[in-house]
Order: sequence, then structure tokens, then C-alpha cells
Amino acid sequence: MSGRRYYSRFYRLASIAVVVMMGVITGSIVLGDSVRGSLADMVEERLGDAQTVVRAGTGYIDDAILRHPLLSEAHGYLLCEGFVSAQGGAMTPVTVWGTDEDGLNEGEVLVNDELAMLTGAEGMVVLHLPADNLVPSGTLFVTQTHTTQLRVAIRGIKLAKRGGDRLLHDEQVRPMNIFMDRRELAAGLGVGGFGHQGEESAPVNVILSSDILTEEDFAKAWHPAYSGISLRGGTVSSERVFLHEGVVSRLQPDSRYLAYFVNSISHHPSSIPYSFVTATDRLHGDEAVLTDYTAERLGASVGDTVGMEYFVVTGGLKRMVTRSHQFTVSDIVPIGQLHGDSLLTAALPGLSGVTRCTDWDSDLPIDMSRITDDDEAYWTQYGQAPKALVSYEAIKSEWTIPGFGAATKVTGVTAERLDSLTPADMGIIVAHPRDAAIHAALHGTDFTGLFLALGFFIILAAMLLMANPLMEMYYLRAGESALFGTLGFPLRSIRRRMFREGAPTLLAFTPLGVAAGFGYAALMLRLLAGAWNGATHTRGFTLHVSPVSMLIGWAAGVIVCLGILVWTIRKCVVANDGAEKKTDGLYVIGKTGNRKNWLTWVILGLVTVLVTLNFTVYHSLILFVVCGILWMAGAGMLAWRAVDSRRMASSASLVANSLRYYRRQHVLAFWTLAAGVFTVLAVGLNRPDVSHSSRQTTGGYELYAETSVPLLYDLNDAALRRRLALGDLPEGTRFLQLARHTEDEASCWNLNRVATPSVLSMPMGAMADFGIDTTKLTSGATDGLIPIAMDSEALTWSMMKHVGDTLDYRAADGREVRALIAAAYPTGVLHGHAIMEQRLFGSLWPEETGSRVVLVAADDDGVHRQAPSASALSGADILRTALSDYGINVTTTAERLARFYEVTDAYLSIFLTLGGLGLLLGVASLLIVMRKYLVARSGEVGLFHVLGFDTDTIVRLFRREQRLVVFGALATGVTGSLISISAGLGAVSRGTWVTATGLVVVLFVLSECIIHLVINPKSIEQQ
Amino acid sequence: MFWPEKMGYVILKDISKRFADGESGCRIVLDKLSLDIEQGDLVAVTGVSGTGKTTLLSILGTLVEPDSGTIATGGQVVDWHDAGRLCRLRNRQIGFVFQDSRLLPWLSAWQNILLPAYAEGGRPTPEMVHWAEKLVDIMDIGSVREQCPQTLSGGEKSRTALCRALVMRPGLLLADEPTGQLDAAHARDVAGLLQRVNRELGTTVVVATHDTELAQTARSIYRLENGKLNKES
Repeated sequence: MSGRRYYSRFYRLASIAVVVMMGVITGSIVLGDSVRGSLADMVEERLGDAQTVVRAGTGYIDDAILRHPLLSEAHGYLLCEGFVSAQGGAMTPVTVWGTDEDGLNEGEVLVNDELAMLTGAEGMVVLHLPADNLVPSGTLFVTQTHTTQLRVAIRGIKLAKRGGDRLLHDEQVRPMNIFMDRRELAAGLGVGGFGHQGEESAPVNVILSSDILTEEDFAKAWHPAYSGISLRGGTVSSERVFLHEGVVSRLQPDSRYLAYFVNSISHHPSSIPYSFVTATDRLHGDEAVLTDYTAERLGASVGDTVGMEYFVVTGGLKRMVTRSHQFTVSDIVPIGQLHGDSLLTAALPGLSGVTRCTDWDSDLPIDMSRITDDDEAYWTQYGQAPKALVSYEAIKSEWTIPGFGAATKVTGVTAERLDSLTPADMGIIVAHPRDAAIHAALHGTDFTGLFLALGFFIILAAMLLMANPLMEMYYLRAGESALFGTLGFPLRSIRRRMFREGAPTLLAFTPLGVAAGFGYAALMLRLLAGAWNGATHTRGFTLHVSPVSMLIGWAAGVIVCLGILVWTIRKCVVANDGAEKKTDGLYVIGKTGNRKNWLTWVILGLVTVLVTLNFTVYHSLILFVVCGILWMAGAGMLAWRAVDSRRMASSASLVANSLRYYRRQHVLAFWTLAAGVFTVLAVGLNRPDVSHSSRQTTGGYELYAETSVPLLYDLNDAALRRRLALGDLPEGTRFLQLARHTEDEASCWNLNRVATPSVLSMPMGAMADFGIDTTKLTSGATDGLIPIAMDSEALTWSMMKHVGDTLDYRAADGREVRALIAAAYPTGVLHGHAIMEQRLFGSLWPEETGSRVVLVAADDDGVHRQAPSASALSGADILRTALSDYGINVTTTAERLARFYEVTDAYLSIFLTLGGLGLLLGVASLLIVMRKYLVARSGEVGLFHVLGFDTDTIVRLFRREQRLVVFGALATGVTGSLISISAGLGAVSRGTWVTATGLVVVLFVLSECIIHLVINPKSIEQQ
Repeated sequence: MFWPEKMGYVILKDISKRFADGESGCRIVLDKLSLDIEQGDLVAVTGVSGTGKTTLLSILGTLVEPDSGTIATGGQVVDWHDAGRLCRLRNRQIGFVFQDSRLLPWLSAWQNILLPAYAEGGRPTPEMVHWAEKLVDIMDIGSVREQCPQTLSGGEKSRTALCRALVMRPGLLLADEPTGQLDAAHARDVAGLLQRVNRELGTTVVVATHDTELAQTARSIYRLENGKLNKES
């Protein structure tokens, strides 16, 4: 009979452990493959067959370009962000795709699966669109209407396989997509009629091609006319009214013209209100040319000085400031010379094309009472004809807006110069996102490593479960080893014999472990799509198996398995030198270490003081964890001191004596179990308590709002607030408005590896509130690098980068710019965003004006509140009502932080569950340890019998001993963990409490069951 | 009342015991063995190894139930089905001394001596402690009583084990090869102690040994052969 068969019961147990261990290791690897594979599949869903994405930045492209042979495989879309009013009045941001593909009639839309879950697959929905028009919204001249509303009928669901989940960013969270007829969308946005085809045409701003097109390829198909730039008689104009500064300088015109609207032209004591004035390069210095009409009304002549007052826009928001300039009249020309000259006028929205001055509809704060009959008469006769021309040079710094508002017309441009314009000059970007998206998917959050870490306790417990029966077996076979030794076998040979017996037996079960790995991975994937969905925000992943990964998992399991086998053999199969095992030796009963007693009480006293201080003053998580660990040490030492101090006065003292003698085994079991319980519970229950967040996580703001449409105005302006029906907000309410350049979502909600996170524009003065070290930003701007600050968690986990690394962005004018991560800021409400100084932001993305993110401090008293004040909550309601046209979503900063923490919570719950399973497995392996322990003490059991101890008494003694160790360890671990998480006790959800309590109860019950199973009258009598 | 008096008078009648012996069947160790042991007697059972001396002592000590036959003392027959009473019997009436002393390593010599007092969840009475101290003096182990067994010499261990066997003032002391691991001088000491116990305390002593010198100290010597006891003197 071979040893393998004779000792099969030990090998059976060890094999079960091998299967469990291999299952978790291989399963974690398969899980990582599955997440990566699923994310890569999602890239297919997001991009369809698109190989090339052409984006028009903030501009548009005439759809006639799609007829070019190079774009035969391309489709054009008009894309914008909007929002739908969902049930309960909440605004749901959506991505609106204007398309020709779906044969939609006017008033019909399709929605994707994700949006359908909110709106249903049919019925009516109100779609809010930004009231864009061709004029860039950041200029002075835009209308007051921010959104338009369309009541549309949902015709059905556009499935993912038909492009329903199309998304141009690397995110696994499914988008909210709505699809409608492109022409209808163009009309809704106010951009219909763009291009060559008149009123019927609708532009596109995104082109997706299944061909791989380079920038050069696209440039061959493109002409400036497709971007609304036209050349007539040497004069260049834009359908978007304003010409970018970059475009102007590329065209090298003879002269620039910039039509502007001034508040007054005055020559003491006369004044003309609200007039059009055109700046031109034909005048120099402070020269101005007046029309005879103007000169007559002002009583001015050549050589006189006239003053002009006008609004200018300052900062990222549309803060209108009144400025003035003094000009010297160099000439007076007849009005007929200027009237009808299209070079001098521009179609400014809200001002042009109206019959009366009082019909002007603009955001400019025009005081209609100043308009006289003479003004109306001039408007009736001459319309927009300028009342004066001024030197371009004189007003350039104030009237032009960097990036897009340099001129309304330029002259003296040749066709060759026009042709030299490139798509990049117009902000058109040609990208091939597929490779980058696949890279982002395959190099995103490492679920293999994550689940190996989360399942660490299961692996550890399985290793123990494997080692214990093997050790017990080798212990029982000590005589066999000694016999071989006596017969002259060298120790190495005896060990090799044991290895040759054990290795094939255990390895035979590894394929079963790999199979179990599939089951484990499938179960985890199912849970990630269900109960643990908070960690991934997906509808689930599909199982992907790579043979290489399987092989790696199998090899890793085999290495661990053989390692344990070798370790147990080396530990247990030792040379029998006949020496008696060393024991504690001399000790005197009842004598205790006074110094250690003193230390124990000092530790426990310190814990009490620290916990009290921490509860009342510090609220430090780290300090609580330290207290928990100190408590464990103190309580454990106290327990062992109690054992030491027991005198022989009762049967309980017998237990104490036994515990003391077998201290080494008991202490190891005690601390292993206590530390395991402490770690699993302390980590699993360690929920960040939003109510004790630091000021830097919120910047001192109580409300966080995002708008679907940019807010162009400064909400700190009291007058504007009244206009926007925000007058009821408390006096001290303070706003921080941040423009956003949208790139990839870099928060913990995105599992893809993020290369270019979205960027927020922030004034330097506000950065310190969020813990950003501004000195690093200012000193980091070297070698043409743009310094940014990045959220520390996103930097580490989503981007896997460090401070000092660089990121590549595309500026609005097509330039590739490199941003330097100069500083990291503590994760808070702005989690996932890069922060850039406001002026640098404006220089890169000048058209991305207005704020998309608004932070609100309802009581600007400098006090950091842990919970939003009543005025903040009422302020949120006021904001929702007043800014509903902007698609505003308002939450408290505490709620936003809590949503981020949900992801952490989900991972902690997974750790708690898997760690709990590991603990249960570990406690189950106690069964083997106890049995081994009982076998080792069979002689003592026999002696007790001889001395007249009945079986029940012996059972009681042994059980009491084991209970003291196991329950003492559990109790120490549980109380230590409760102390360590007391900072966030309130943040632990009821479900988590139930899980944790259930785990502790199961641990206690299982331990008691194991003690009963191992130590019972039958097992005692068998000894 | 069961075992009302000290158990010093034992009758074995037709005791048989056999053990399984591989595939060949069973081996008869005790074959309808009968023996009367008088109160206060000092009996030696000799025989070569494997003849069943330890088995006989185990049956006498109620640790092993015979296949057939009865044990009686004071006119009462041992009831093998009453485990609780058997435990009390062993605890109060029978003392055991083994070849290897069998001291618990996690108790001091003194605690080992008092160990039987804890058998039923009780604790040593002052009288018992006083008696134990007297035994310690008799056995001359007072200087090592607080030491743990690992630090005791072979003789000290044997004497400690003897103290433990006598601490409950048993009527019957069973000694299984008590000098088996001792040198000649220590063996003589132990033999002397057994005689002294028998003589001074009136304890019936049954010694299983193949040490002829020890056997010679007994008043009755039996040789166990082929499952039968043959009286030699």
C-alpha cells in the first residue's frame, strides 16, 4: 500500500485547498482578462466601424464635404450636449446626435438603451438644446436665450449594435444618447443654412469614417469654404461673423475690419447713444473718421477729440466692463460713403436685422430710454452703417477676443493665401481614437491585481488549509522518517521521497483549480454587474479567456502549491537527533512580569485618552486606526497576563496553565486570527465619513452644480443675479464658476486608463481652497509646458501617472500642447479633473467660455461646514428653478463626495465579503490545527482518564482552552477594528453592517461548531 | 453503596482478554485468569514482555474492560457500564504509577501531585494539601516541588508520580514497570518507597515488573504465562 493511499485523507484536504487557491488565483487572472476584454468590446460598441474621427471643435463643417471621394465611407453628424426633463423634473444630460442615417421625420427621435430606461421606449419628451448660433457664444454679441426646447416623440430604441451607444470618449459607462434628424437639430441650434446650400443645408461637426484618413487626406477634401470662410473680391468673411486671430494672421490681409457696438460717441456736450463703429487698419494711432451725420450731431470737426464708451468682456466669464477711449477726428466723410459698404458691417445677433433700435435683443444692458427719435430715424435710414471709423490699432487690445474675435472682415487676400489655410487652423482635429481606446481599455484598472488583493485572505486561508493537513501528516509520519534515517537514508533522500509522493497528488488537482477559477471569475463578474455594481457602473462584463493567462494562473498556482509542499516537508521532516524538544524550561508558577503589566495598562490608558480626544477634537482616521491596533496589542497582552497570573486554585487554572505551556501555538493562532479579523473588518468597514471631510475636499463650498449649457455670466454680479431670478439667494452667497474642456472622464467611475482628463479652468486665487500648491504651478511653467494640477487619486488609479509627468492636449487651433502635471491636489468634489490656470485655459480653448461647473458657498462667512446649511439647501432649490434653462443639476458637495465614495465603498464591500470568506476558510482550517493539537496531547488525555477525570470533564477542559484562544482572538479583532473605524461609524451603510455582523456571528458560530466537532466525548475517548 | 470502603481487597474471577492479531485472528492475553488480592498485600506480577502484565493492571485499574469474567471487591462487582462511577473509583480508590511517570509538562511537580483533586471540577481540601505536603516530605522532593517536570531527574519524576498516585489515599496502588527507566540506585529507592507505602499506609500494591530485585520485595509473586497466573511464592 503506497503512502499516498494510506494518507489519502490528508491529501484530500490539501487538494481541496489547492483547488480553492488555484481557483482564486486563476479566477482573478481570468477576471482581469474579462474586464479588459469587455472594455475592448465596448470600444467596438462606442466607435462602431469608425477608424477616423474628424471633430470641428466649436465650429461647423458644410456637409457638402461628405460628397468628396475621400470621404465616401464617412458619415457626418451634428453633435451637441443637451438635456431632457425626466420624471420628477430632474434634468438628465444627453448627447444629441443629428444624423441622416435613421430616416427620422421631424419631431421624431431614437434613444439608446440607457436613456430608454429613463424615458421609456416611446412617448413624448422635452429636449432642451443650447441656443447656439453661428456666432461664438463667448463674444459680446449673443442673445439672451440660452436654450431652446423641442417636444419630440420617441420612435424607438437604437440598439448598441446599430451605434446606439456611440461615444467618442474612453468610458465604460454607457452614454445617454438621443438621435434626431440633422436638419431639425441644426434648425434647433440656430445653425441651419450654414454652407453652400442655403437654408436647406445643415452643417456637421463630427465626421466618422471607416477609412483611415490622415490630416493630409482630410485637408485634400477640405476647403475653407466648408468651414464658412468665403473670399469675394479679395475680401474674406466668415459665416460665423468673426474671424479667428490665427486665421487672420495666416491670411496676411492688407487691412482688418472689426465692426463693434459702442455705448456712446461723445463730444462735449453732445452724445450719441448705442452706435455701430468699425475699426480698420486704414487708420492709425488714435485716429477716428466721423460721418457728416455724426459730426453734425456732435458738433465736432477735424482735429477735435471725441470719446467713445463701450463694453468689453474680461475674464473667462462674460463680465462686461465699460471702457472708454479718446480719438482725434482726422476726417469727416459723407454718410453715403459708408452706408451700404458691407465691408464695414457684420450681422451681429440680436442687433442686426431689426426694424427699430428698440427691437434689439441682446445681453448687452442697453438702456432703451437713451434712444432718441433721431437714433430711430438713423436706424430706419442707414441701418447698421457705422457712425464712425476708428483705428484698429487703438482698440485692438479691448475689442478683440483672443482666439476668435479678431476681425469681421479682412481685405487684400489672394486665393492662394486662402488656400493655405488648413483644417487645423479652423480648429478641426483628425483623430484615430480606436487604437488609443483599445490601449485605454487594455491598460485600465487592473482587475487581476485588484481581485488578487481583495481575495488575498482566501488565498492565504487556502494556503493554511493546504499546509495544515500536510504538516499533520508529516507529524504522524515522524516515526517513518526516523525509521528511514535509522536505515541509513540521508535526510535529503527522505524529503525527496515525501515530495515525490505529495507533488503529483496535489498537482493532479490543479486542472480542477483552473476550472474552479472560471466559476469564480463568472461569479465575480455577475456580482460586479449586480450587487457590486457601484464599483464599475456597468451593466456587466463578459467572460474572456486567454490561454496565456490561464497558463500563467496555473503556473502561479503550481509554484505556490509546490512551495508550500517543500516548506512543510522541510519544516516537519527533520533529522531525528534524539534531543528532547526544547520547552519553556524553568518557570515559577504565579510569578508575572510587573513591567509588562505596567506597559499593558499604559497602552490601554493611552488608547482610552486617544479615542476620547479623537472623538471630541481630532477626528483623525489614522489616529483611530492606530488606536485600534494599540487596543489589540493592549487587550491581547492583558489577556495573556491574566493567563500568566492564574494560580492553581481551580480547574479553570488548569486551562490557564495549559495555555501558558502551549503559548507558542496558541499565541500564533490568537494573533493570526485576531489580526485577520481586525484587517478584514477594519478595512471592510472603513468608510470615509463625508460629514468629517476636510475643507480642501470641498474648497469650502456647499453646493456643486453642473450645467448642460455654459453659463456665460458671472453669478457673483448682484445685478445679474436679480435678472436671473437669483435675487432670493442669501446676500453672502459666493460662486466659483469653472469652464471645462471636456476630454475623458478620469474619476473612479471610469475603468479605462485615462490619457487626457477633462480640464477645469480656475483662477489662481481660488486654487489654495482646494489644496493646490500654486507655487508649483507657477514654477512648473517651463519649456513651453502648460502646468496643471491633477487630483491625486485620479492621477494614481485612472491615469497611472505621477507629478512631473506630461499629458498631450489639442488646443482649439489644432496645436498639440503638452501639459505638465506640476502638482497633485487632494481628492474632493473636483475629482477626476485637471485644473489649469484660467488665462492659460483661455489661450488654449478660447471658445470654451462660460462655466460648466458652479460651486456655491451659501454663507460666505469663512466657516467650514461639515453639512450643508439650511440656506445652502434652499439655495439649491432657487438655482434649480432659476437656471433650469441651462440644464442645471445641483447637489450638495457632501452628496457628490458621497457618490465618489460609493465606488470605494463597493470595493471595500468586496474586500469585506472576500476577506470574510477567507476568514471562514481560515477558521475552518482551525479544525485541522485543533485535531493535530488533540492528537499531540493524546498522552495527556490518557493520563486524565487514569487519574479519574471523566470524559465530560476532559472535553470541558479542552473546549474551554480552545474557546479562550479562538473567541479571545475574535473579540480582540472585532473590538480593535471597531475602534479603528470609529471615525466613520456613521458612514457605514446598514447593508454593510448586516454583512459585517453576519460575518462575525458566523465566525463565532463556526468556531464553536469546529470546537464541538473536534473536541467531543467520542474524539476524547479515541485518544 | 458502591465501593464504600477503601478498595484493598480485590477478586478477579475468570478474566479473559484477547486482542486482534492481524489477519490471523486474535491473540489470547488473559485466559480465564483468577486472582485474590488481600487487603494490604504487596503483589508482584512478573513475566516476559508481551505476556499481558500491563493489560492485567489496566483491567485491575478499570481502564480496560475484560472480554469476560468479573472483578469484585468488598463483595461488589465492578459495573463496566457506569462510566461515571468508574471514574470516581479510579480517582479515589486507585493510584497509578507508570514506567515513564506521565507528568503533565505544563504543571509544576506540586501541581502534578494535586492534579487528581481537580477531577470532578473540585479543588484540593486543606487536609489533602496537608497530606500532599507530608508525601512530598516522605518522598524527599520538597526542594523541587515548584519546578516543572522537564527539569526533574528520573528519580524525582518517579517520586512525584508516586506522590500523585497516593494523594487521594487510594486503597490500591498499581505500578507498571515503575523501575523500567531507572538506574539500579533509583530502582532500589522506588522499590523501598513502594514497600514503605504498603507497610506504613496499608495500601495494597500490585507491581507489574520483570525486575526480579523489585519482585523479590513483594510478599506474593505471580508469574504471568500463556494468559495464566502462576504463584511463585
